[in-house]
Amino acid sequence: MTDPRGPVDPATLMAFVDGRLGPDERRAFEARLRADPALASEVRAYEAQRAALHAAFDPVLEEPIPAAMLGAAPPRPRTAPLARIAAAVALVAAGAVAGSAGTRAWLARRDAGPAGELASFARQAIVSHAAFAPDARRPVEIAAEQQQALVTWLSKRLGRDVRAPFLEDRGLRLVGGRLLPGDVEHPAAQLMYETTAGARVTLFIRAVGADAPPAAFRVREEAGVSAFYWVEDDWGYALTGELGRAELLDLAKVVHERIRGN
Amino acid sequence: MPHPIVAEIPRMRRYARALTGNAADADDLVQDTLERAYAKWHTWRRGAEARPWLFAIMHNLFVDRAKLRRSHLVVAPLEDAGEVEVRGGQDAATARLDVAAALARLSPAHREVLLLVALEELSYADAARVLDVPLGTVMSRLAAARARLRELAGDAPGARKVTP
Repeated sequence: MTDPRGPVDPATLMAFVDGRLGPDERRAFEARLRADPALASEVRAYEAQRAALHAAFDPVLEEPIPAAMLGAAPPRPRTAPLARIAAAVALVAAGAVAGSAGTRAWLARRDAGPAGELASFARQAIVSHAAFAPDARRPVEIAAEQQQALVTWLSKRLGRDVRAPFLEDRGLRLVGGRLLPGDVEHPAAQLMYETTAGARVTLFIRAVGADAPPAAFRVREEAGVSAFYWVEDDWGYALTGELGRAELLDLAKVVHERIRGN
Repeated sequence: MPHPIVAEIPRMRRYARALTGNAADADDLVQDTLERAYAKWHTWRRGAEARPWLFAIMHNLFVDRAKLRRSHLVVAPLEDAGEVEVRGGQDAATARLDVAAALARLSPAHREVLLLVALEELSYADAARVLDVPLGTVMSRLAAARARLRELAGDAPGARKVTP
């Protein structure tokens, strides 16, 4: 049976299969499909191809990214402070699958003044926590299963021995970690832990200026997220999580001891 | 350090895996693409989508490699694409297995356009940009690729066992 409308235009057939026809064209094509079983079976075959491709290859999306691919990224160039902040905000926002509008808004604020270094360190820790902790699909770049690769890679990029403190006796399982923009000279590392209830706690690490005051626990809170932070040998550490302050401080003490201890 | 390009890595790997048929070649291709992309990052137009730009770099590298290897090109056996979930009956399950095996038997040009559109869901215009061919060529290659894959899937070798 030949269709009085002539043969099907292959481009229209493709656009139908790919859902790229306008509503009128789509309806016209659907009418034609009902009258032409061979055409309908061709469309079904192409839809099955798409489903098959996704079934076969979508699992690749969930694989941890090899460290070498991340290591290929060059250090970001030195830029003016304002441009730097804009870039950092864009980066964090781009990574923040679940970052709320409110989070994004306060990302744009920044501490001014030379004394703001530690405060801005703490804010950065909180921003990074807010950006990645809610991410269900890809909270870390390298998963804890590859812990050795993770700490080796982070140590190399930070230029300092980075350890992931063992916290399972405190009910915290290591999820993994990622590298983050710190400041211009110093990248930062974020290690992520998870409680059995699924709450996430992150440890943020980067070098801070040598004139930073010596160790004492400080606390900063933004948008309902608390961070306890301290400085040890010119390195800043911040433990951030949506836990009670007492619980978080307790954990921060443990982390502090264990980082120092070995 | 995280870079806007980093967010694209999972999709680049998916595309490369389907394109090359094995994980090692795919990751080599992605790695080379990333190195070139980072080096050329300053030429990228701000505000433009990174994805078509990255896929275009990958396409160029893929074509270069295909030229190098043409003399000893063999059809590589497709790696185990993982367990295939059976849903929608035997026909659908068979189609999934067959389509993966048959992909390796498509010409590289057909495989590329099909994967860009059907797997990566690029617009036709973006696919044309990635492949550096006119839109009409994308449409005709796409139609040919789908028809050919359908033929191949019908008699693709090695109908492997399905793990339910």
